[in-house]
Amino acid sequence: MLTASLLRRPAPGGVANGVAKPQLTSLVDMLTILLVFLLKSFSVEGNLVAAADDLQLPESISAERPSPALNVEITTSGVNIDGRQVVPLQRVVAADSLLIDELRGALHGIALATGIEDRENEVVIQCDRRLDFSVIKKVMFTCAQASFSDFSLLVLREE
Amino acid sequence: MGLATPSRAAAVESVDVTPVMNMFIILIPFLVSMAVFSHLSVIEFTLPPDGGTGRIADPETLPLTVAMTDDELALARGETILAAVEKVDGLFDFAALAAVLGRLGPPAAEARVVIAIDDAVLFADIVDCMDTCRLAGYADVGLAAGTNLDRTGETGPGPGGRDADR
Repeated sequence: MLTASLLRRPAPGGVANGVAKPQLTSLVDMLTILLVFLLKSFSVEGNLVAAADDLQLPESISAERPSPALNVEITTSGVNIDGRQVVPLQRVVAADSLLIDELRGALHGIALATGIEDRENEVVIQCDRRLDFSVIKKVMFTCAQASFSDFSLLVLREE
Repeated sequence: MGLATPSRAAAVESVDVTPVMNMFIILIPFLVSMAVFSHLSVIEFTLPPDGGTGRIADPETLPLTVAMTDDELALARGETILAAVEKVDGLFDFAALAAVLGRLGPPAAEARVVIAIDDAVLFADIVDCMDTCRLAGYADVGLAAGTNLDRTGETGPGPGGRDADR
C-alpha cells in the first residue's frame, strides 16, 4: 500500500505527461553567483605582461600597471628572454664575472634587430622570489651593458 | 469566474528556464576566458648616479641608505649609521624598519632612499624592503649592490650609533 502510494507520487522535478522535468532552480542560483563573480574579475585589457610559468613572483603594494617591454625572466632553471632560455642558472651562479656573455649577446642581437641600440631601453625583470641578489645583480649589469637600462621589476599586486 | 483551478496554478509555477541556462552556458566560458585572477604590477626603481666628480657632498643632502646584510637592516646617511634592525627568527624585521623610518619624520617630496644589498639577500626581501620605504613616504627608491658596512668607523647619535633607535 505504502509502496504503491510512493510510486504514484510525482518525482521531485515533476513528471508531466510522462516527461521528467529536472529542478533547475539551484543550478540557476549557482550560475548567477558565478556570473557575478566573473563579471567582477572581468578585464577588457587583460594582462599586458604575462608571468613565466615556473616562477614564483613576490607580492608588493605597487599598483603601477606594467607596460609592454622586453621581458627578462630569471627562473630557478635559467635566464630567459620572452620565454626562450638563454643561459642556465647554474652557469650564472658559477660565473665570477658580472657580465653574462650569452645574455649580452642575445640582448645586443635584439637591440640591433629592432634598431634601438642607441637608446636607454626598457626591460621588465621577472625574478623568482627565492633567488638571491647575486643573480639579479649579474642580470641587471648585463642588461645595462646591452643598452637595456630602464628597469622595472614584475610583482604580484597585493589585494 | 477568474479563480485558477489547481491544474492552472501548477502550470504557472513551472517557469521554463532553458533560455536562461543557454545564456549562462554561452556567457560563463567567455567570462572565464577574459577573467584576470592574479593582478600583476611593476616596481620602477632607479640606479644610483655615478658619483665620480670627487667632491664631497653635503651630508644633509645625501640620500638615506638602507643596507640589507645577511643578518640585519642598517639605516645610514652618508657614513653615519642611524640605526640597525637585526633579524628576528631569521627574518628581516620590516615593521621595526618602518618604525625607524617613521621616527625620522616625513621625508621631503624629492627625498630618495637607496637600498644597498648584499649578495645573499633574497629577492622577496628586497621587494618587501622597497615596499616599506614607499609606505614611509620615499617614492624614489634606488637599488645598489654591496653594503660595505664598516662597523669600526661608524658614528651615530648614540653609543656606537647602533642603539640609538632601539
